[in-house]
Amino acid sequence: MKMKETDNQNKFLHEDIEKREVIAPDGSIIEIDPMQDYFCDARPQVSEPYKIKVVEKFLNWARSESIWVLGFGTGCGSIEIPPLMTPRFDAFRYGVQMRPTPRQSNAFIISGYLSVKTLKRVIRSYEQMQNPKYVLLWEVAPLTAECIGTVTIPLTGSICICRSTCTLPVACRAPKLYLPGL
Amino acid sequence: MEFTVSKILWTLLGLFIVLNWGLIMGGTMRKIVARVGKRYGIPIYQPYIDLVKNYSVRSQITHGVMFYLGPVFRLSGGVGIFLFLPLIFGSDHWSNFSFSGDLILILYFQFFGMLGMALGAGEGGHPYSAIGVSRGLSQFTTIEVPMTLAVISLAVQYNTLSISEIVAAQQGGLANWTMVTNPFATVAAMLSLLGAFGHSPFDLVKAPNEIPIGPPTEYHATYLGVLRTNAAILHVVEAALFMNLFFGGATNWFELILKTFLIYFWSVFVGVVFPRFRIEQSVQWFLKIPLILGIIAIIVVL
Repeated sequence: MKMKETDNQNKFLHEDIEKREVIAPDGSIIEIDPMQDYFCDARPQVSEPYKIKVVEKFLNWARSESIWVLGFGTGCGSIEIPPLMTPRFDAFRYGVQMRPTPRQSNAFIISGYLSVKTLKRVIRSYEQMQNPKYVLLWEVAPLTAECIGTVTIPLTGSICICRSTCTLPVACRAPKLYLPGL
Repeated sequence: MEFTVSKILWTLLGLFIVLNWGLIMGGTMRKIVARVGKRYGIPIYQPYIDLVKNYSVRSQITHGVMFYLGPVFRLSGGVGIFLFLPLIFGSDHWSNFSFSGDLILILYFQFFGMLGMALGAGEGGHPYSAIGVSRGLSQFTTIEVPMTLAVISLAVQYNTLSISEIVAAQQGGLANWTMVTNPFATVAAMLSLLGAFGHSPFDLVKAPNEIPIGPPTEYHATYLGVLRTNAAILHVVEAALFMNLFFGGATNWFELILKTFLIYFWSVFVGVVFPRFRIEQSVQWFLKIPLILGIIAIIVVL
């Protein structure tokens, strides 16, 4: 049974991410394990808040008023993200800004379905974000993710790779539906 | 130049005022740009919230010693310009540590922060950082040419390299301002100022939607907070430098705030009108009209 599970996992792995030995420019042999080097296998942990409650409350207020978003645009929801910054919806007035780099982002919008291939990118992007970080999922995304057994919605109470902060209860309708989530 | 405790405290107070004015001015300009685009825009105090947020974000990443030192060098560049720049003419408290050769030192400090940032961002290892750094350094090298020609023209005109003495020579009314007495140098410097502030059409270093963020791609949390702090200080002190050199300086804080606002607004105004250049267009542009005007400014003064 264990062997079967391993085989099942390996069939999704590209040969580039298999463990191998590489000769470095100085002639030494280096062992490379991309799954360990590129991905973190530790569970996400909740950062400890500051001990002084007033300070933590103040910082939380600042975090809520200055949300920098990394958009992971998959599926139909991705087309709804750009209009957020247009005059009609203007998310800037709530302190929401789009950042193209995960290092500077606080909120991670996953706007659509996730396949095995895109899930790897999601995890790498998520792990590059710094704490405290928040994830916003459209309904379609976690439902699809549940099927492949890696990311699940809080409703099912299962283990999450991305700790989902907010799940929007509707499928892609309009950009304004992002705003309550943010 | 005296190093007394009270002098240092006055200078720190001046730095605090300049930092706050820089943040408010940045927020105001972003609001203006938003209104041009028919958006409501951010609140004016948004830069403060962003700064608090950035300083509170945790960091678990390092790329090496230079990665740490990059923002520190950048901040040293901004604060260095501030320290040697007389803010208010005729005031002992707000003249900072200006001395007889401060103009040359300030021109050096303008490049210092950029070089430090280039080393730090280079160690970050992101390709966009390297592209941004190469663009920034090549563009700023060409900006320096007309700007330095204009400054040399002023040094010859007023026979001094002290900013305080240049400001003193412009007192007594609008007719004495360098803007009127040496218009070629003023125009050459104001055109190169567009590049120094880095707004469109010369926003090649950060280049949104092209090489997003540019050099600070890997910078986050406190690193980014330090860079933002420096940006707020740098915008005010660079505008104050041009105010001192070309627009008669300031005799009180209100005058300084008004003039720095208008000088910074000049680059924002051009920015909302014109789209971004490519790097070769930008370099060629600075080596045409601004360079010719700078040479004319030197010839006229001689």
